[in-house]
Amino acid sequence: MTNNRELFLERYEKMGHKLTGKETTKQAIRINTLKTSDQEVYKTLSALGVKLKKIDYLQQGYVVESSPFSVGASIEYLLGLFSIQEPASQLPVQVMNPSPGETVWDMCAAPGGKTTQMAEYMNNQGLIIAYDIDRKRIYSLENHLERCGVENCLVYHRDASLTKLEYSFSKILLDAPCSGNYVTDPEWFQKRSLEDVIRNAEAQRKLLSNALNYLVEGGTLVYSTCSLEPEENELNIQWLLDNYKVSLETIEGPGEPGLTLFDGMELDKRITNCMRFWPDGPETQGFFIAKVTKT
Amino acid sequence: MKLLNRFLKELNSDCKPQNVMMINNKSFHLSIDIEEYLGNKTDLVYAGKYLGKDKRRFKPSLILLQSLTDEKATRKVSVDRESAWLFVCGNDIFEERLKPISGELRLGENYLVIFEGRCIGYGRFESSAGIKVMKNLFDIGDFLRREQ
Repeated sequence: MTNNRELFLERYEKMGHKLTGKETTKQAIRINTLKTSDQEVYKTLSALGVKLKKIDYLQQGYVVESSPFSVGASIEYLLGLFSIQEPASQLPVQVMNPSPGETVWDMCAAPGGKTTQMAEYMNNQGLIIAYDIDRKRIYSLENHLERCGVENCLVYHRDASLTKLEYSFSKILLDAPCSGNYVTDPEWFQKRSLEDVIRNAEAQRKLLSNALNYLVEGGTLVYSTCSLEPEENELNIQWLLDNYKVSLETIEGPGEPGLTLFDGMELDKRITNCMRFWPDGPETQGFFIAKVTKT
Repeated sequence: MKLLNRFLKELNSDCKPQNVMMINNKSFHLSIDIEEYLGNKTDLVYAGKYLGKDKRRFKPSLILLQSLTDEKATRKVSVDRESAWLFVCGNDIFEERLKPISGELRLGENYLVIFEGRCIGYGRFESSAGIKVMKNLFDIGDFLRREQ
């Protein structure tokens, strides 16, 4: 029987990162600017003994250094003054930067951390079209929208890779379903295989393809996964570059450039504009972000 | 709409909801922007401003409760953090812990329960065996309970 743990850790080592498989990430929160301010939440939680530290590359992100209680079971959380969201996963919407009045497509929205973040950027003005294929996860999305006070969202129980639309978007977020990573799931090595990775990468290409169908020329597609596997990240972006007229914008942040060499394959140098987070980097889970412009 | 209107009346609200759409027993207020955009409603599960859900009685959304908090006419009581926490855990609140925001508390009437200017639920002021309490009818701890 193949030892997946060794297999994956060896892969990561070949990509330049000698990981233990036991790396963790600190709990982080994102302040909900639809309801409150950084100052109010910082002051209130500090008075309750919670130690918060601002994450310098995020606009509304704080690491919970320590807390005498679970911040997810506080009155302030239930009131929607903040959400619990891993630091790297707060970055895609910041990169997308949706504005009030815009109409944007969130292709795989549930459970809704990034959807609510978009509504905050848009100050509840304009429209978010949110799709998800998983009805159970949509219940979480609905709860999240309600708790955070989002009023500019339409949610559809649909497969974004198959859907046909009558309109196009200038901004699309594709936070694709992926293999995940071991930092946020202790059972990850037992659950995942390379076959899963390949299968997910194929599904992601279908989503990417449909995203490009409904992105206006000059429009922005932000693609992200919480996978460390190049098949779901750089190789999908290479496939986009090979098959569509797109360019890659540079992403500001503390991660590393996307890989341009994997398993003997040399990839397009423009992929260095993408950003990859390693678990031995800036205290985050594994993550990947690409900012694609349709040309 | 009938349960929603009854809920609003029981809180003495002036609110008269318009442009309300029902999806799976849930009420949503649609802004003009959203109404114009809505074409094919197949597979639609959530739209605009969520008001609440029809069950045996109307179960209000946090979004609706907060907009009622900003209304002058609605009946409200405020509570301190300790009572607020007990309330969001599903408990009733004893009379001595309640601070009416306007007027006096009257038995049998419904009140929004406010903590530091924000609504954490609503209840009915009741008396049982000589003890007066704000009976918990809905609280925001529901977010944790429904995820389970």
